[in-house]
Amino acid sequence: MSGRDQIVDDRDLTRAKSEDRGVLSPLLIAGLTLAMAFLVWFPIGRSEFTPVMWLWVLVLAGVVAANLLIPRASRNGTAVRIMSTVCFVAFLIVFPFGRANSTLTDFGLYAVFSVCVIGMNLMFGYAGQVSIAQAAFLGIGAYTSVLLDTGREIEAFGIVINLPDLPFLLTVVIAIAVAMLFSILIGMAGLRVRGPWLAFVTLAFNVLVYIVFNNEVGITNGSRGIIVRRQDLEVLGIDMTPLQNYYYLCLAFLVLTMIIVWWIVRSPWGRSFKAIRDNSQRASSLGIDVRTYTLLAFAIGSGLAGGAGALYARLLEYIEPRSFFLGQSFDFLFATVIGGLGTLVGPLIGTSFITIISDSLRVLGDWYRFWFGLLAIVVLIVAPRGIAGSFNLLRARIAAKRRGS
Amino acid sequence: MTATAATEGRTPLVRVSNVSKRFGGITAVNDVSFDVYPGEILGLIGPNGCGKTTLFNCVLGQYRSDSGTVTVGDTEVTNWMPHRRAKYGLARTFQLLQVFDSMTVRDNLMTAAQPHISTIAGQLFKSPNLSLDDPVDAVLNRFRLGHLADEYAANLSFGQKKLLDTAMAFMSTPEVVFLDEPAGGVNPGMLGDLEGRIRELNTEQGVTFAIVEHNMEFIFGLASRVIVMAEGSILMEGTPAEERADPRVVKVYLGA
Repeated sequence: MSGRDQIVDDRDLTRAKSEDRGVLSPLLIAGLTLAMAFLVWFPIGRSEFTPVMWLWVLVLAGVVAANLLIPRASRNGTAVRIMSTVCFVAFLIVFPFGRANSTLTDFGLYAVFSVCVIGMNLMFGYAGQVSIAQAAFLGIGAYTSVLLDTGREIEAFGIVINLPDLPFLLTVVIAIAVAMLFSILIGMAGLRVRGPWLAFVTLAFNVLVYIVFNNEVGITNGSRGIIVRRQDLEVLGIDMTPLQNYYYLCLAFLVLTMIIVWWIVRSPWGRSFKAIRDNSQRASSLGIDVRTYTLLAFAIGSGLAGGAGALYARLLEYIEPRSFFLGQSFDFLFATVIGGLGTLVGPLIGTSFITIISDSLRVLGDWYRFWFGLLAIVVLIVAPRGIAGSFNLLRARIAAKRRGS
Repeated sequence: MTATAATEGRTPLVRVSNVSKRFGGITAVNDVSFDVYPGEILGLIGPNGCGKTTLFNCVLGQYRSDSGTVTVGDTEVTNWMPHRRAKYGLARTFQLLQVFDSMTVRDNLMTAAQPHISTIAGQLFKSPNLSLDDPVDAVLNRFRLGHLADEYAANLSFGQKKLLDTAMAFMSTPEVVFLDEPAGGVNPGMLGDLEGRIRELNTEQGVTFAIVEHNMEFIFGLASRVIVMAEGSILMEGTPAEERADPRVVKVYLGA
């Protein structure tokens, strides 16, 4: 995981730093601004596949090329990174605007699942702890939020309780807290073991949570699930009944998550996480409290999934235990790995595979799952360190070749 | 333990009493006691498998000893986790190189320093470098790693990694540093350099050392007191000169 290739990459970049004079910067900023103007200017899509799509592809190609060809540790590189992030968020704001509900649901799921995968990447990619219970925490968050903000009547152990009708945003916070609490309880026991054994512990926890959701019919309505309409949902004075408004709430949550995780990873915590991942024995001998840090990574990652769960329930307006079973957890794991472990963009790329890309393949008919599996295998063979990781490697090779010529 | 003339009447900094460690039927360390005195360089030698590294692991907390106590100053640390002992002033290196490959040299040193200057919660809200730039630069210069500061640790040569590995132990401004075979795999030219660094830190900054080593010339030249171990127990303790002459040491270790 340490990535010798990544390292080659950054050595090249350090050298590039001294050669770079930053003359490209104004041009680059102008170019990327123009690209973004395109995004906003064009009245995008009444229908799903239009010639405008090709413009999106062009812009995407431009952003990828700029990231590939311009050394990262330079002024131009910084400009590229900032503009790419802005482009990406602008895309998520503009593209789904005024589109059909199916597209909005797809993008909403992308935003919500991205948060889960970012959380998983923090645990697995940065702190090196494999957890396959992300769907369980998604479910815990979803049920917590649904039970607390609908004023439902539940029956547990023969006692009938009327649950409160709390404001939605408050239940999101509670969902995060409850998921964190469970993760800490599981982590205290489970983090005594590492690697595959930790994966088994979390896997068992996921099964356990599923069984509770399924069997505690009095609380969760069992396998029939719970319908939760957005009808009377209002957040900060905005009516959430239209899916479009709700999608932007999910997007705001995603952007907030990106900022928080970026902050954590660049703080001394990020170094401690990586130290534990690279060599936990050495980390503890240097005074790093390995247990506390791994628990922290685990709690933050799971808490993010809990918050995502609260949003997920209202996005689909329906939750059932099956949505939170192992398959979903493995989807998250797949997205984390295919995107690129221990990179900030990795989860954003990986999640598109389990939402937008796998859904677009439905046009291929009954066998779309098969083709998706095939695509996944091909990607993992071509890019074994995930798309973001292999992208870095490619960039280093290009930089080396250019210097050589 | 019998005190030699050099240590008579002084208060030990680290006191290891009757420590034993068994793995299944094998007793790796058998009822070992020794003291580390402030300001000294203590050598620990013995043939392979005699329990030197296991003893270090018991003292530093990587292993929990089956019996016996470890005391630092007046505080018993026998049941402490390794990171707590590190914060209390015990630093170490390992026999095999252990640096963080995915980080730059500078970040490796930052990682080594940061647990000692701020609480976990505090670290989240301070600037990423925690105003550690000056101490990191000082250590980089002392170990002649300045030109490699932004290089990834995985790209370093063996010797450079060895220097980084040792340098990391000093980022916490420790009281005692336990070095496990610092000269292992280091070429003669760099060996002198390493010896110079250790002596410098010992005399200028008063850092106490306990060093496990196979290289006899290196350790006899450096240490003021050497403990010889064999089969999990302490065979003898004395100055380098005494040990060179002792027939038991010659028999088990120096080779007859």
